[in-house]
Amino acid sequence: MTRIRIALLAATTVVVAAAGAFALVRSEASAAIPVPTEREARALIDKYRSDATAGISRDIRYAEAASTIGECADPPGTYAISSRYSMMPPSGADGAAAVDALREHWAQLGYRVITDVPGQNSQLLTEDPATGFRVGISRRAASYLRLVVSSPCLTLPYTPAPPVLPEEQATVREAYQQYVAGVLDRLTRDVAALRTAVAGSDRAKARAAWLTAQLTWDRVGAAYGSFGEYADAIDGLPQGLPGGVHDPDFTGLRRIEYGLWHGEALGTLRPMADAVAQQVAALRADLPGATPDAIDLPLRVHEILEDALRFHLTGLTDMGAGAVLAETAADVDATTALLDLFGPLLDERRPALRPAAHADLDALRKALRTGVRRDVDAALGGVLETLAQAPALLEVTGS
Amino acid sequence: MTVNRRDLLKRVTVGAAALVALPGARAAEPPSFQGPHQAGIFTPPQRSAIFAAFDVAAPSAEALRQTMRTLTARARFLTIGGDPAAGPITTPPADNGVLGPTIPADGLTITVSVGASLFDGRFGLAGRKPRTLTAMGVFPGDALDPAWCHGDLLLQICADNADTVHHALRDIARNTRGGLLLRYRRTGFLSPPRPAGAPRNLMGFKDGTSNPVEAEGADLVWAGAGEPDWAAGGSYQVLRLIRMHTEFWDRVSLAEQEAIIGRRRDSGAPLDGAKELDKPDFERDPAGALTPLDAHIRLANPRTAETANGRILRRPYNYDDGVVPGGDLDAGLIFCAYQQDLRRGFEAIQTRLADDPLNDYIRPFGGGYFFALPGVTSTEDWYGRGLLG
Repeated sequence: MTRIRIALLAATTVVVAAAGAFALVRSEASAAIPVPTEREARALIDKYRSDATAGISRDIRYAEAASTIGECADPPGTYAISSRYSMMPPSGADGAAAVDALREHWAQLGYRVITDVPGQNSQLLTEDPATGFRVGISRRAASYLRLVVSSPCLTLPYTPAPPVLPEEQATVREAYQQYVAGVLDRLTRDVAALRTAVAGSDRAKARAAWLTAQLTWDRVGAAYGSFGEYADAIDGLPQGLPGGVHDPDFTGLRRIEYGLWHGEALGTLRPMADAVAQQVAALRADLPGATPDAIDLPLRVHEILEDALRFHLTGLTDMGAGAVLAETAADVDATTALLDLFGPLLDERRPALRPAAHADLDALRKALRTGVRRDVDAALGGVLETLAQAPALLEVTGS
Repeated sequence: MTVNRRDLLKRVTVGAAALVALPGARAAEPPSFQGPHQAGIFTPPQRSAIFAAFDVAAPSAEALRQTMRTLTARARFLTIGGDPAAGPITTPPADNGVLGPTIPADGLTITVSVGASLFDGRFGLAGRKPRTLTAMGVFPGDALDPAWCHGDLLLQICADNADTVHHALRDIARNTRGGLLLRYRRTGFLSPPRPAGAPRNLMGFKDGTSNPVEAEGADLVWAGAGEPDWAAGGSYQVLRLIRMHTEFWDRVSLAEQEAIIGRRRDSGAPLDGAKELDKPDFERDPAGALTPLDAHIRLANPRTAETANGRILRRPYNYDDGVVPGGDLDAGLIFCAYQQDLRRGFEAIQTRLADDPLNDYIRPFGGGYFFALPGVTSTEDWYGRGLLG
């Protein structure tokens, strides 16, 4: 029922705005060029890209886009935003025609030529004197064009975090996978105990076994559609199914919880517990493939507890056990584990963040122990605002 | 890319012309009460709305006819405005006084729709149901509360001011007492342009930039071939009450918000364009380099030949009401849309939206399928005369 949130590099070409007005001001005020804000710069990048692609064949399609922020040497402390768009012309002739069309178009607009290397590997770079923005097109091979738009050096109201290297992210993913493997090993034992318990006649014992297994599963941190169909099979919810709690597709730990707290005979829950055991085993075996992509993991730092807020504390996951606070505490454990896996990367970029997050997580743990709902809600809201600062510090950019 | 004055002038003119089609713009003339179609469908959305679902409690078909005649008379009076009936000062006043002694029209439209449940055995209408009208089903991600779903009758009451819609609902409920019983209602508002163009929803994004125009009504909105004769001029209506996890949304980076929606938040421009009214060209971006393949606007309207006749007329309102358990805002969207065919329109879109990353930030909790009745065409006509008469 939840989906995987994908952070796309393409999306890092942010924001559009009154670019027209901006450009107009620039062309009329021929004196000093006012430096745009980051938002204005990003809007202008969109406008230059749009203007360039409108002037070439529609058959030349986008293949890839990426945006980077680079530090300028002069003056120091300023940054240039640069966006690159890979485009695929249907033929070499189309590519060459596009370069010629843009050369003429930019000349007509009065752009200054910075470089113009003709030939098979042509490179054309121009600058709009009205804004200081540069726009260029290059051909590397017959069927490959690259459009580049870059801003002049800007002053940013923050210091951009150095991007995390893909291999650093991969290392965190590897460590998280090991963490999950350990939790799943424990879950395997917990589910075995649950199967034994529902095979017996002691409902209290079965309920306790369910809770143990559920909390262990929660400690995986399977928020936000992580582990996809495995997670749905292990603890899928009845909402969104036509038959609700009576829907045949409602299975897994939540279905067992429903049965245990709604007077269903223990024996009828056995096949469901067996199925959970199978799913856990299947996930354990498929873990290298099923673990969320490295690029998604930074988001989980706050999303595990976002799920606690959206699902546990709204009552959506409570199938009768009333265990939402205990489950939220398990989510705190998972969040803490993930936060610390990113520890060195976070500390390097914003030393104050992890201590603040730990303090907030401790406050939430304390509130969960005392069980005062007002304090739980307040502490959860607080920690989420802190944790939401993490993903932006952990992004891989500039690939 | 210098912009000369002529270009600027052109842009301003285009912007002004486009505004007329955008929600929130008020036509100079008040919406007409009579016509082949009801007002409140292609009427540019007014600022305030109430969506009110009713159960019909009228004990017979004749009682229902009488109720519908009364409803028509009240709607006619309220949308035109004027002085309420006067009576002796010793009796309860005929009007609630909320709008003062003389009722202003205030852009009021009242749009009456019927739900599938009206066509059960109670009124002998079983054989007269619009071809594909059913009760709304459950979609993945829904958490539907029965108290907020379905209804025999739905009123979409819209006007320029919140007191006018309240007054109208209160007047109608009073005058149809005994025949109609309120089941649920939700109050909505449309934001003014911030700073221009389509109004923003509570996620901060412009909503309604791309909508069919009235000339496309016969192809996309009004009941088509195969419908019962009485249904001509009517339209299938979908109501969805959608809570937004606004707190969670606010904890998501701008770049990701824009990738999820497929538009820039500031300007409303599609991610492959530069201005709000630029048309997305998804064909030119087959890999999703600029607009992710699962961006909301791309899933909802892929702009392909196959999906062109499935476009729907959206008429959504924001809602902002109280607190949900956990201390978060109960705020979101009253999604309302009109279309010629529920399967081809809303349901096809909803199927495509099954994998929409936006789903994580919203929680549909109510709504229903309805059929907006044909318009009232003369002073003798009344809502549903073709159906019930």
